[in-house]
Amino acid sequence: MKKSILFILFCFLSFLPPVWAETTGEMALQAQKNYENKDYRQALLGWDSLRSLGIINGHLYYNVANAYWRLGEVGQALRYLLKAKRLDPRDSDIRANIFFIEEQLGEAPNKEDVLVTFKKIPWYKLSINFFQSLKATAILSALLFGLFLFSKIKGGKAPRKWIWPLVLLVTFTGIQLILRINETYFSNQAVVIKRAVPLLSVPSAQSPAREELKEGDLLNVRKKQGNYRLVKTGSGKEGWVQAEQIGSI
Amino acid sequence: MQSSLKTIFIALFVIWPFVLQAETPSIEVRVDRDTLTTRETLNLSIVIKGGSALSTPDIPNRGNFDVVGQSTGNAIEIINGQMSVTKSFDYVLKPRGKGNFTIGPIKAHIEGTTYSSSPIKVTVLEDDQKPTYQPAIPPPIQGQRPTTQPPPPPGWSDHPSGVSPPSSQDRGLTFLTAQVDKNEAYVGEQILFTFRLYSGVSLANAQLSLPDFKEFISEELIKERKYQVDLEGKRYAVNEWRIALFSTKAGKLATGPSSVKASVSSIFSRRPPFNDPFYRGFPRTQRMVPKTFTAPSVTIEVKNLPPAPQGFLGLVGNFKISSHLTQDVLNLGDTTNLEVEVSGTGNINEANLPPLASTPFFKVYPGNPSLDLRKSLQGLSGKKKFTYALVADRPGETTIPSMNLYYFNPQLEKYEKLSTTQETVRIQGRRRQEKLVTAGIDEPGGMFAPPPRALDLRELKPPSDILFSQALAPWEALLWWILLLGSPVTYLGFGIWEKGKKRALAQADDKKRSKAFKRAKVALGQTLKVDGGGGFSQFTGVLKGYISDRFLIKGAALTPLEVERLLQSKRIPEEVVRRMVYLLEQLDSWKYGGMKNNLPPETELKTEITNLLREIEKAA
Repeated sequence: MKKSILFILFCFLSFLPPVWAETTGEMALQAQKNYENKDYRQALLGWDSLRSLGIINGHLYYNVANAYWRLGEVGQALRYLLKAKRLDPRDSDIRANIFFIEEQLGEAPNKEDVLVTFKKIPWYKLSINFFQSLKATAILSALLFGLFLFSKIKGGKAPRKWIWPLVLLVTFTGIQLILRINETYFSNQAVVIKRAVPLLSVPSAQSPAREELKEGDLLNVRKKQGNYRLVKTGSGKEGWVQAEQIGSI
Repeated sequence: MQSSLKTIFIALFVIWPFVLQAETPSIEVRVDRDTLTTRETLNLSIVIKGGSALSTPDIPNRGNFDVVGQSTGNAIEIINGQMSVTKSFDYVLKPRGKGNFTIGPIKAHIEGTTYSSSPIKVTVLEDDQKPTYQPAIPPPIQGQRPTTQPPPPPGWSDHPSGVSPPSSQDRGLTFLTAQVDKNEAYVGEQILFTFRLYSGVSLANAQLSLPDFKEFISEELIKERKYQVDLEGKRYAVNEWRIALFSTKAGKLATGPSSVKASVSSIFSRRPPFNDPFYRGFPRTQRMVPKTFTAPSVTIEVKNLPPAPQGFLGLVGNFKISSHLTQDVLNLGDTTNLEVEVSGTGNINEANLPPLASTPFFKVYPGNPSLDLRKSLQGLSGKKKFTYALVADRPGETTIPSMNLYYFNPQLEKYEKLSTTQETVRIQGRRRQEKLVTAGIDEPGGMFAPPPRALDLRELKPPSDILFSQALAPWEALLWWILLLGSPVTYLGFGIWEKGKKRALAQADDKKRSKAFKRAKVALGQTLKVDGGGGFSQFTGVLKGYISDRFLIKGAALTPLEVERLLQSKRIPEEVVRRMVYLLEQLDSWKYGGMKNNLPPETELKTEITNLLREIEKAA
């Protein structure tokens, strides 16, 4: 009895993943076709369905951003590109599209400042995302401390030719991990996704507007209060906006 | 044959666009009055527009009137590719009797189609006893306020103002009239100034001097219009000029005097000689006499415009506005033209639109406006076209806002607002391939090169790239965190454990060291008698045991020489070391040599050992 139940369960589980994979593949293909036929809304629906299945993928966000751009929703396009960049920081297509949109919005990504030469170095080619940095740091850390432990147990000193490279790598990935943690959990960045959003003095619809934010502006969310968010703009001004007018990254 | 065919073909090719764009034909008929007496005449004006220059009107019901004067005129205009042919027929009609008559409808056959005007009703009254003199009032102009100039009283002594009475020797009359269609107007409002030269006699070498219109902007409407009128039974040839005036400021403004210098023919007869009553006289002769005829300045009361709304740019008259967008769906980088046309009567050349600003979706490049003026007896009218080139700069859907134009309507005496319609434009994201030309500044290449200027977003990622999830499941992330944090924690734990162990060992050693002397003393107290080898072994054991405990070494197998070295290394005084070594050697010799004769007493031996250990204890 037990054996037969297990056998049935095994068969069921064996067949399940391929069916699921076939459906998502079809959904992705259909979404791409819709995009090519300029039916951007339908393409977005297809990609949203993939996201609802738990697929978190930088390239998927990239495609979503492209569709939003075609629909003229610049804020959403920029938001999804920044999400994609967090997952694929080394992807040159994502960076190029962000650069393109920022140019269209009239922002000058290459402002001249003291660190201009430093910033020109393509550090992004060494970037890894949060999950990659977590795995890499965990593995390297295990190797490093394992080596120390082994040496201690053996009673000798750990060989320098292994220790120092490991120390450097762990430092590198550890810094990336700290940056990604800050980016993911503490920075609370958001993008204005509607046109002409008023920056309110108090969280109320009747409040006078201090400033008008334009679509695509980057904000830092400080506080939540009901349907309003206390945000800080790039120029340092603080104010309240309605939650549905901004999108978190 | 071939070359002539070629010529015809080329001619047709050149003319064809103009033919295609010829104006739609129409016929207009008007009279200068609808009530007159049997002694007066009526001016009938027929204007045929469009069609060939050979079109002639077909006038019915001519039995009630006599044609006492007529003139014709032709005009061909080609404006912005549109050709318009205008033919005018002017008739001076004298009624045959009193009654109510209908003139028309007058028909014209143009290019196979019959165009017809509306009939005009005319009332002819019985002539009065008093002769009536009415100056030739200009034909009624649609939309304008009636003239406020009071009609002059009848009689030869009453002439149009400013005109000197004719010489009694002249058979006819020659005089000038200068009139305006309104004596009160607003600043910028169109005023029609009509200047007429009436001549009942022949004129030669006529030189016209029109007013300078210092305080007006003037536009000549008709250069010269000729017709004939009957005034009190006398026929006059009339030369008429009409000018549109637009005042530039408020106040009582004067047009200025007008004059004509001409030689007028004059017939005179000589007196009979010798005062002979039977002399019938010499034949009369004709001579040209130079004369100057003057019409005085006309004063117009010009009023300031009422307070204007924001955006009013000085347009006065009656206008309409229309707009047209050439394309409402375009790609990035494409151009669409917004054409706005302002048309109407008034100072149309003053029409201006507020600037159309560039938006995030469009870059706006305004063109030069084109002006199409129409001059007629009714005044100055026309169209002014504004064109804006809009270059699509960003994809999406946007609305081109409506543009407002304010003008002052002098008839309604209020400001009116005209607005263009809002236009919605959809810009798609595909930009045609363009080659960008940089300013020629060399940019650094290699890894420091800035990204190349993009014309559009990059292509989509293929489906295969988007089907896997980069994120970790919560339990996976937890495992990795455990591994990440567990490694240093494990290492630290091991280190702590090791230290603890060492500390414990060190503590045990310290304890052993501190209790070495006490243990040695206890061991000494428990030793057996010296006799027999057992006693010596015990004493040796006590000494070596003490050294082992005190200095934490295995001292059981130490030789006296090793003990000596050890004690010396611990900086024990030489005397004590020598005594220790001597004692150990003695004990070994007594134990193994069997020389028992020189054995010291047990207590002495114990005391010596105790003292020795105490001194080592002190020195260590």
